[in-house]
Amino acid sequence: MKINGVEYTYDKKITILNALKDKGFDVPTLCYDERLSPFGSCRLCLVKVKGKGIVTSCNNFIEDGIEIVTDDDEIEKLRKTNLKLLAENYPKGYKDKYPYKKFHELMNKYGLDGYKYEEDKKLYDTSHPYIYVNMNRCINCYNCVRVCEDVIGKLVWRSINRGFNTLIVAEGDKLGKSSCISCRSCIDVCPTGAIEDAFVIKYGYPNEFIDSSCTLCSITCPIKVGVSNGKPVMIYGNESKLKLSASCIVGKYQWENLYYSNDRIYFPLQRSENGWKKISYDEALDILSNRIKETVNNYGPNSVGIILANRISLEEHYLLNLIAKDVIKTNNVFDIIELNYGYSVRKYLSNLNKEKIIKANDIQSLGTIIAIGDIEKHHPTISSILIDNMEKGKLNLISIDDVNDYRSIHEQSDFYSRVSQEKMINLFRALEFLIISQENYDKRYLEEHFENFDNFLNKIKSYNLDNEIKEIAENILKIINKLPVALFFEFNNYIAEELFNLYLIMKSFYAKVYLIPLFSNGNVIEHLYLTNKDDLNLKTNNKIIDIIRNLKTLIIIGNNLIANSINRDELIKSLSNVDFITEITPIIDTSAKYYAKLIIPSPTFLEKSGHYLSYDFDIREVNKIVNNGLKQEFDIFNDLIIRLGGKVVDQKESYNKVITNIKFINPL
Amino acid sequence: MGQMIRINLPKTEINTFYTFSDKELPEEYCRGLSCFVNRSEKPNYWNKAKDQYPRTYCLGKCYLSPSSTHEESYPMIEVLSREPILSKFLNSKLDTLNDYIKLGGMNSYTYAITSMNQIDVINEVKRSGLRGRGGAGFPTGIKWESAYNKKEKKKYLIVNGDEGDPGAFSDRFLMEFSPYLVIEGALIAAYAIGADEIYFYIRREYPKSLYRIKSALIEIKNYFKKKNVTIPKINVEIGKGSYVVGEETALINALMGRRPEPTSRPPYPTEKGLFGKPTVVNNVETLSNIPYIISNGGSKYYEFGFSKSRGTKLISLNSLFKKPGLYEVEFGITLEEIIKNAGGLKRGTLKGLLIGAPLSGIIMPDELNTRLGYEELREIGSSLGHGNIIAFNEETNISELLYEILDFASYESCGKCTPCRLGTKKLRDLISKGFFDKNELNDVYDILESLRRTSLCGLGIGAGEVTFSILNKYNNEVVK
Ligand SMILES: Cc1cc2nc3c(=O)[nH]c(=O)nc-3n(C[C@H](O)[C@H](O)[C@H](O)COP(=O)(O)O)c2cc1C
Ligand code: SF4
Ligand code: SF4
Ligand code: SF4
Ligand code: FES
Repeated sequence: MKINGVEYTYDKKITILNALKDKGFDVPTLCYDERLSPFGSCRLCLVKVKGKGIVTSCNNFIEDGIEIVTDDDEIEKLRKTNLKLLAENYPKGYKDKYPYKKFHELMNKYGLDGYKYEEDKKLYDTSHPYIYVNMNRCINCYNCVRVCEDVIGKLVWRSINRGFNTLIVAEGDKLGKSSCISCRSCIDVCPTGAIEDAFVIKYGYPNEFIDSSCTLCSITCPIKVGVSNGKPVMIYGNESKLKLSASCIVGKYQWENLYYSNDRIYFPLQRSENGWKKISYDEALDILSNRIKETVNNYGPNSVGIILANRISLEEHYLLNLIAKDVIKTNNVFDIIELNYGYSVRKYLSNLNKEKIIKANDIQSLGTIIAIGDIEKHHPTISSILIDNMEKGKLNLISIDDVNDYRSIHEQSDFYSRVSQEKMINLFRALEFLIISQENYDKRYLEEHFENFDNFLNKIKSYNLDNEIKEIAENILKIINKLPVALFFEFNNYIAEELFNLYLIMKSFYAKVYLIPLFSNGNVIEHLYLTNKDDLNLKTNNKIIDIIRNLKTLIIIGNNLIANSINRDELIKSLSNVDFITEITPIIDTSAKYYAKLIIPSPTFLEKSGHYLSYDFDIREVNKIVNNGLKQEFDIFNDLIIRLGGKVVDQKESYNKVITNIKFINPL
Repeated sequence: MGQMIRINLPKTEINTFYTFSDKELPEEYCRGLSCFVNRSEKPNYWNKAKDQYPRTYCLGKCYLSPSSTHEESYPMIEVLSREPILSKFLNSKLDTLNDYIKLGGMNSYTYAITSMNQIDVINEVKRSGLRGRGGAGFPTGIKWESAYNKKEKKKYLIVNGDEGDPGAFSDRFLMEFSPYLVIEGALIAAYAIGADEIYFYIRREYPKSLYRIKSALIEIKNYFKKKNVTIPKINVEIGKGSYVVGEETALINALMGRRPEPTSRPPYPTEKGLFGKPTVVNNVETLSNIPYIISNGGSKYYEFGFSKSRGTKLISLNSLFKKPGLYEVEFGITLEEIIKNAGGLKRGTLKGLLIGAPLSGIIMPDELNTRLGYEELREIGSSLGHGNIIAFNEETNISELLYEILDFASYESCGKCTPCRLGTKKLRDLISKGFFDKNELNDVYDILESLRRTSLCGLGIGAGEVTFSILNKYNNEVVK
């Protein structure tokens, strides 16, 4: 194909817009969004195609020999006319106040401004706590309607009337009373701010942006946090560090649910006969340390346990290890992933530990991706990166999961199959079978990696697989025509082992194959990589929950332990059996509310600093955005160490120490 | 890669799109262009039409405009072609299926399914040179072939009976007088493309067409049941008051219970149409030609007409002609001849012709030697549309005419795309004072260019075309 006279080649049929974006051409769009199917309503993404004239690039595909002009005077004039029509019907005063909005950026580029002086007050809706609505600013791109209906699966936004009178309204007229689940995808896709984050409206557009990282999932996106009058109001991804960083509504908006939650606590609380009693940090730490000492004296150190329900910084991990191993001397430190899957996760990871790591920024140089499990939900930015590269024709994308719901990745894959977990195992076996039957795999490699490969081979050959599964497997193999292959795997014990077998077999055949496990549920990957544990075979999730039941004193670090547990009932039984639970958490969650005797507030990732490990082994810096007097876990741990007779360690020292423990990653 | 299509969502607000989804009026007065250009005949009708809310655009009675729902008479049907391919049926009183069968009806379908394979049928239609009569003029055989070539098992045929163009009443009378012919054509089309389900979409303004098609379907179903022939499932949907729903992708959305907005192509309906399946949308008149093509052969049909426009076409002439009504003509006839056969105007002198109204360029009296054909009309900045010809005389002021057209376009715009939603309204507002100011012309040209070249569907494009054509041809009347 030719763009502005220059030759380019593509081996996949992608849209003109994606091809242009991939080559760095700037095409104005308003109704286009990566998450949505092309809609073609704004009529701005115009380009000229030789032989066809002016077409919209968002929904037309490249073809062999196609010749495209991206902008000349004629195209620019048409774009400007359409944009001007929108501007003429747009209220004055917003463009400069919220300059980052896509529509405002375009108005600036084309020298336009809103020309309407009056607003219709009836088009305001302030009934929702997180989402502010002013439909005077709506330009009818329908992105909100489409994202809600097609991506989220709700029907909150509705378009009524037709033509010039078309209006977007919330179901039942008031958003606050609708079935809105506050995901805020509509804010994210709205190019004007007609639907806007309520905090941005309330506190104003940020006056400064501070670098940090999001810790809400293991991708640990580098971000910029916009602060307005001391309040964090906005987060966006720092794409200079990670392309498509924080292209996720959790990191962009839903952190507000935590940060501005009504359940936040800023003082330690002690349970008493008449409810919670506010106490000071010193009092709280005295109570906790005395309790620990007592327990150790009376029942031995292993009667004290610690559960990590959420992520803490690398430095804090160092202190946590110190407290557990050197000060208290307990073996019973667990994280939520272990609680869910037992120590076998660790074994799994140690098997992979010699493998090359695929950095998120390098995904684009892969050939074929097989995405297994609900990656879009648990690691949204990864899913965005995969989809983006697939759309730009860089890689083949195969997606396999058992998700009974809409996901963009289903649509944006070359091949998608929804299979139950049992069938998924069979699918992996079918793939193994098909690869093995092609004979030209590296047998030596497999003999090295399987304890008894011949046995395994016989087993593969003996599987009785139904035709449907075989057909899916055949389709998948057809699509793997570009190397390297990477298996992105939302970890799940049930299919892990068979997937590992498949991985080895694929590797013996294609050579360049990677397996990348991702962990949801609290994402405490730092703990997995930083603390060594023995007897990997022994500690199953049931065993761990048993151990917890017999503890006398338990410290829960982080929130949402119960919500993130997959053995909730058993866990709750264990928790209710423990005499004394302290929870260190930013909000009062279920376990704090019902089981803790003492709650010590900890900060959110916006109120602390430290280093975190990303899923692809980069070290990311988290910076304190807001200083509101909350002690961060690091200081709480140090306070405990002193009280238990240990020696304080500072941030720098613990960072240096912890870094030497993870030698396989590059220190900053 | 596929797009999921969710259908029939519980979205009752979609009804607000249509003008008549939850309203009924005791009587309706037509606000269409044919009634506009002849409003002086019954000024009170036009006034009522203007006051009426919601509006009714075109009742398919343009041969008696100004018209209303409460009077009825039938148009004259004239044959100017060498053979009455369609008027043969229009002119015979077909009360029952038997009447139709006596004229040789249903033989083509029976022949097609027993003695021809699908590709033969398609080739025959390709050979005939038949092009879509719904407006776009796309070669019917090629459309069928591309649906036929799709691997999917499920395919649909949609019969577009939404004839919304003011001035047109040919589809109305095909359905009303000769429903069997339309259905036979549809059955053959469904066979050719491999569709096992057919949808008829008939506009609400044609209650009789709806009734005739529905009862003809019952007869036909019973007829084939007796003969032990399985025919496709046939559904009939009725419109709720919208012009744009006649656009094929909007129609598909309407049938799926979605907002009837056009969809940006690609994907084309033949790739991904109704319920995501390959779908052919054909116009009523297009399909009515099929039985003839099958029984007489494509090359026979090709003998009629000329150039790239083959066969015959039903032309609807408005009430300002001395002899208004339906004329079956061969392509290639000049506009002059048509007018001559209709006896010229009944009043005043001809000032211009609207062909394919409302959204195609106007033809001036000095262009009447143009021959009727898709390309030939394009060349003079107009288009065939539904073969609807509205003549107007000196009583019509061009700025007022343009206002009516733009008002229609803005009223009927679905609102999906920027130029049409906002541009038609802006142009309408500018012309509402009776002229375009010279200073506004830059703006006007910018907008009409945007309409013509960047609108999503024919409505916006047409609104730009007609404004462009009027500025070209009647500049001194609209610009001050
Ligand atoms: C605004 C608009 C309205 C239309 N209305 C009709 C209509 O009422 N009837 C019709 O047959 N085609 C109508 N069309 C054309 C259809 O989109 C489509 O081209 C046609 O039904 C295809 O059938 P054909 O190939 O047999 O002509 C309309 C197109 C546009 C852009
Ligand atoms: S509210 Fe925003 S996203 Fe929704 S249609 Fe209007 S401009 Fe588009
Ligand atoms: S993808 Fe994960 S790390 Fe990135 S912004 Fe979203 S929640 Fe935060
Ligand atoms: S041109 Fe008009 S009618 Fe057609 S899609 Fe655009 S807004 Fe709708
Ligand atoms: S981005 Fe293509 S029309 Fe809006």
